[in-house]
Amino acid sequence: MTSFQVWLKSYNKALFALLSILISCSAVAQSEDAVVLSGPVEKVRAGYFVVELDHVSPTLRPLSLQVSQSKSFASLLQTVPIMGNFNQVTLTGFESGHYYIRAVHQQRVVSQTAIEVTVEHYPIWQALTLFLLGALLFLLLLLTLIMGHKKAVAND
Amino acid sequence: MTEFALDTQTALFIIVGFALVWIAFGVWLGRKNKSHEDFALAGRNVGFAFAAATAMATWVTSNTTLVAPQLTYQLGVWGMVGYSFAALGLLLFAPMAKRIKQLLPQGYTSGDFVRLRYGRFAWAVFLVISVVYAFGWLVSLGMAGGILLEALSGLDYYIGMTIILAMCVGYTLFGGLRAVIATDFIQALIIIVGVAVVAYWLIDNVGLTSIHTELSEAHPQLLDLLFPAAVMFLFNNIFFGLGEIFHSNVWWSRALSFRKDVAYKAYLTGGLLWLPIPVVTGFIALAAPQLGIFPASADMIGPAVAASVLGKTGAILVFIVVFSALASSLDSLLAASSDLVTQDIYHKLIKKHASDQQLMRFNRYCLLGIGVMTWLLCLPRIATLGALLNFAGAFVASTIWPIVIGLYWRRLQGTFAGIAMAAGTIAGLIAYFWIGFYVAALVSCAVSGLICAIGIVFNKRQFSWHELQENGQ
Repeated sequence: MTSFQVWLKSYNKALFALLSILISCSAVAQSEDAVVLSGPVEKVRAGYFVVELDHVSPTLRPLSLQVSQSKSFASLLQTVPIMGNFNQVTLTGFESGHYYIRAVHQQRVVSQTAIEVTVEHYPIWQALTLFLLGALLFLLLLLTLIMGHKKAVAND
Repeated sequence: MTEFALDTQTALFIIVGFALVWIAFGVWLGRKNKSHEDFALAGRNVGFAFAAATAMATWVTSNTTLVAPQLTYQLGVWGMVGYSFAALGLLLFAPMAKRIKQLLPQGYTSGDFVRLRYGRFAWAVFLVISVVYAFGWLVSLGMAGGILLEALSGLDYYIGMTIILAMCVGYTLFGGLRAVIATDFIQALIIIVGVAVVAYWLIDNVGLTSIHTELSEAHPQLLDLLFPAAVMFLFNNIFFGLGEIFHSNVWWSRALSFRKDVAYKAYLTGGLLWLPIPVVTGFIALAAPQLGIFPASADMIGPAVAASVLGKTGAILVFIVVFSALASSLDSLLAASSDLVTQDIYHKLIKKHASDQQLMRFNRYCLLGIGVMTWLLCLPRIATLGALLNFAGAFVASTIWPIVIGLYWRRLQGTFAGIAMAAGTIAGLIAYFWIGFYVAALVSCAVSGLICAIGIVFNKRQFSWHELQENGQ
């Protein structure tokens, strides 16, 4: 091996070490910047829920959430800007289904992982049963009140 | 990034200015209070204009200005329309107010009626319900003050909450019910004008078509008329409103303080004036997604949207309107709760021969104590406003049937009335935790009604209305 080859080999080793250090530093920096999202663990029954954000450094503001129905975020359902310096946001109006949410800052994904939220509305028969029960009860109350009032006026 | 519509100094300047003006007004009005009856019931001489204004302004509260948008944001169109049905509480209370004045011309509180009509067991259950409800509402109002300032100006929640509580305790302490009704009158005018201006600005600045398109694409559930949770919520909210008004001393003390023949017309007018307000305040929440506004907490949505659309001037207007709404309810509830404790607990149980001056002094200490307790309970933000209020729904809806039947029919006796209220509350709480806040009041009212019906079937004794006249009144 010539002295040039020896020098080249040492140079390559040094370059590799330097690159490794740079890559690991970048990874550490990235994990420090990463936002941690948390949402409801159980099924959401009324279409609205709160997403909390942890480890949000000031450099990541303004921050937005991307909501998608596909795990790969191939198409976005909505982009939600986070208000002020708050570390949570209330999302609403979702139909039954699975939703994936991640945080972005200036088009760059900054959340460690995307969270999954499952929305499953109450069955409509249950809602309508309670609705009818309410209507019946209200009608009965109204009749009681009207009859009582008429009786009281008549007694006057 | 900060998008607060008001800077903190401006918000503080407005709130402190308002506090000083209202307290000075309370002191000025309080000069006419010579007896406990003057302090607690404004001399039983309130005329129609003040009566209708106080009925409407008291019902326009954090419920209407903050919770109506919150429920619209969460439950969509049904949240908004369903909320306006709470006006039924005022409308149906109109004939009852006339009956109350007729049966208890010298009465002081709703507790008086329950004790005389149903006896001590039902009265004890009723007092527990009243106290839980009063503190639930007081805490929600105190919290609403803090949330409002935080949403509009970024001012610390604790500072905003403390100032609004101190202000309302201050002017009610000096002026009594007279100050409450007089400030309610002015606050009602501010609320009506303010809401009308906000509605006009919103329709002018945010088109209905764009709001509909955005909701259909990204939040379709909010426009769905078969949204299950919202369908369940509809009658629940009606029964919650009815329970709140039918049992609460806030409304009974007003009925007793109005001149003869004024109560019926006043509550009817107040209800009709109130009806469109939640529709307007709720509508602004539907515009939120179109404007790119997603609140940290759902109860911040109303002020956040209004401030965003209307800019700084609008934010000041919204701030004053909501602040007036909060104050008009907070003062009423403070006064009514301290009356209830003074009359039902201090006068009936602790010091039966208390002089008029002693009652008035105790009433003031009590008011101060309730204010301090409310402040302490507001310190931890335990729930959203909607969740907190609807928790109380399980309690108050259980009183609807015992109150209505007790006012007009003679067959229901105390034991069944007490059991109906206790069992209704427990069933409502189970439904609250098992299903959700949107069914608690409905279940509570249904169970209570069933027990009242059983009580009427099995009872043989007829109540005599003369038993309501205490001490030869």
